[in-house]
Amino acid sequence: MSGQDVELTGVSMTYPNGFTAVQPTDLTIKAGEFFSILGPSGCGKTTILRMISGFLDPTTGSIAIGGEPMIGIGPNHRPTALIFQSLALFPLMSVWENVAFGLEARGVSKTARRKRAEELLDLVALSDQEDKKPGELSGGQRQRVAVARALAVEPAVLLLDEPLSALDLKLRQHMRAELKDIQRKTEVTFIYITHDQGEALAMSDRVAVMNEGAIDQVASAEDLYNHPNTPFAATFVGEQNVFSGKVKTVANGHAQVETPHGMLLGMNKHGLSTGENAIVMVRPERIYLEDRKDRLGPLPNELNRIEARLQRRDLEGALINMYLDAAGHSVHVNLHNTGDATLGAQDDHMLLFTPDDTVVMRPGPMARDKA
Amino acid sequence: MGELTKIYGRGLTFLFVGLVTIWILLMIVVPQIRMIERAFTFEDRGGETAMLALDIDHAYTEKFQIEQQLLTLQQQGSSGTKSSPAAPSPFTPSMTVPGAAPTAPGPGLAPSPSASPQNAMSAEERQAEAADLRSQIAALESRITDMEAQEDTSSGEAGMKERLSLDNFTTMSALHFKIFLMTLLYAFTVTVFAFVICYPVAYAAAMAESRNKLTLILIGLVIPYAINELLRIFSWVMILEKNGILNAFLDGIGIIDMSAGEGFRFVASNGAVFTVMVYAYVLFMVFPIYNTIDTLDKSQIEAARDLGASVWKIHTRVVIPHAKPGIAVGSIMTFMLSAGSIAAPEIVGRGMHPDWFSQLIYRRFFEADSWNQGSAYSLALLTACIIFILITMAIFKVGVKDIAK
Repeated sequence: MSGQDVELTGVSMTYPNGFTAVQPTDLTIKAGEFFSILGPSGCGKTTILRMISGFLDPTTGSIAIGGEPMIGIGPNHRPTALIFQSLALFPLMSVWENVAFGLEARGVSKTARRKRAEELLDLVALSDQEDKKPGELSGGQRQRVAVARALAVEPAVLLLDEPLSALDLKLRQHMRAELKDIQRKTEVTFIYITHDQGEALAMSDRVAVMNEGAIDQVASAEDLYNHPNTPFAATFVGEQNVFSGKVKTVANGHAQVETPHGMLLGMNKHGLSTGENAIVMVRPERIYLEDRKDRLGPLPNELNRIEARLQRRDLEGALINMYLDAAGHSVHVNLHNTGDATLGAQDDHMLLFTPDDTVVMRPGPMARDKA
Repeated sequence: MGELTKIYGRGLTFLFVGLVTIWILLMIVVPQIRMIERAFTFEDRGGETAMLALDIDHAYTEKFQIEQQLLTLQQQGSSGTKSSPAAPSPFTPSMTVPGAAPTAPGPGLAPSPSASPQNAMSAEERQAEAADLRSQIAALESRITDMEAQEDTSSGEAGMKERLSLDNFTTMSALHFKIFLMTLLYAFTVTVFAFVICYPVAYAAAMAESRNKLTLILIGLVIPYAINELLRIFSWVMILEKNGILNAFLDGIGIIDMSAGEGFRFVASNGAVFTVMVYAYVLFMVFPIYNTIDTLDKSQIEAARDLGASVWKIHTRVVIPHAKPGIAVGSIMTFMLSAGSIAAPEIVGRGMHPDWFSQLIYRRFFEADSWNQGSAYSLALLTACIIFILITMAIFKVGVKDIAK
């Protein structure tokens, strides 16, 4: 098994009722890559997946897999295999028949099918379950049957449509590692659709963030989290405290923004110039409390400062979530739980954050509620 | 029972259970027991007592005929003086039924030749004639009294010997047995036709994405069923008749010339009966299949397609296995209904097509007047249908529980 690259050129999708699910999109997914498409529900990510698998024809543009144009070729003739959100295992067939179904459709003999199914069930650590019905398996086992069934047809590209969403948290984390492992072993190109940023960041070589039918940013997981390019990518992946204001001065790649909370200095991501409207963003875990700055080691001289009053303080295991009010604007701060019960417990705080952790962008659409 | 009492209270539960019990007893158990009893009771129609009963019937018929002749004679006597002698009584010739005579055994029973119209008959001759007829009646009456006395001593009130036996079944003639087997075959054929037609329709309806399409399909099927079954059958007769719509259409496109008397007689053939029956029972096939396919996760079909399965493979391996309970229910209903249907073969077949067993049962009951043999035939059909159900359930590996779903 080996992967092939997938190339989307100007692909768009408009449904007969006039709804445009996908704006014209160019996207190249490299052979053998674990690629995730991350976005809120209704952003068009499933539509892209269905166009790659062949269940939908794009309104414009072309799709090529391994250099072969795919338009007009049905899903049963594409080198892709799709793992459905519901898994869509065949409940009346046994596990091995499920796995071997693709081979059965290709007319492979029964003994050869059985042998191949056993190999694949070995790969997904289900070797002793082959004669059971899918209904007798646990959620994680069914998941693995679905993977084995898709791999049985030796696809060049495996498409996964939020396959882990039905599992509980522990199992989901375990399956992430397994999927990543299987991908490494088989070297098949994985295209993984999810609205769960944790899944996308943990497994992917690269992640595309989608919003309202358009791809916002394509980057490695680290880059996406640490250096988001757009307000949407910045707010959808991880959390952000957002302040809005006007650019006062610009210097050395930094911009100083005048906000209701005072002057805030940050990285000038979009190259804004003086007088432009801007938003200033900083992540909750990059904000420090002044009275606890001794734990941080040396801080730069220039620091952003905001006065705030504690509203709520929740302990969430390793982290302490603090929700504060800064002149009518709510601010979220994450502290590491040091074991000190008085940490951040007092009412009034001075919040500090470095300009390098602060991002200044042109205002734009942001993620509202994340599922 | 305790559960029901908890939910509905004592009074309502009593009412429900009582009504259901009465319904089961009166509508199912008692009639079935009566039918089974009749089926296993044999009336010996060829025996001595039966022949005696037949003779009594004939004697009564004859006596009635002679009485009519006498009446006519007396009317002639009273009217002959008033009306013109040339006016013949229109009743007189028809009163003598020569055809009835040969079946009547016994001496002195031949109709009197003097009963023919003789307007010129004198009063004396008429009186002699009347006296003769009266003596014949008296002879018959005494004979009937004798025979009835003999009947009373030899048998029960029904006039025929009755005994428990399997004879109602075993005396089924080879022809009737052939009709019985052919009917099962016909019903099976109708079921297969109905399935072939209904499966794609049910599949399309279940897969329809837009609501309008679904509504249209359902309306197209449901509205015809708001019309009485007889009307639906007769509308097919309108279509299939020699002067019907189908021939008019063929005439219109120039295949036949109706004005020259050409035209196909589509009705009165088994093909026509099958067509009408399939139409009459499609709904019973479509809905169970539609219901089961509708519960199939559509992504299973997509998954099969994505894995490279052909349309045939998708249906044989994914859709049909899932729809099995629905197919079994639809087949059972269609088979039972068509095996027992009488209206379609009677109206469409017009007696010119091979008989259906249901028609035979009807004739056993109401033409041969043999309710016992009719019951036996019905029981045979019922048993065959139950065996069909069990076989179908075994083939489809469907339990009663699956069907209830």
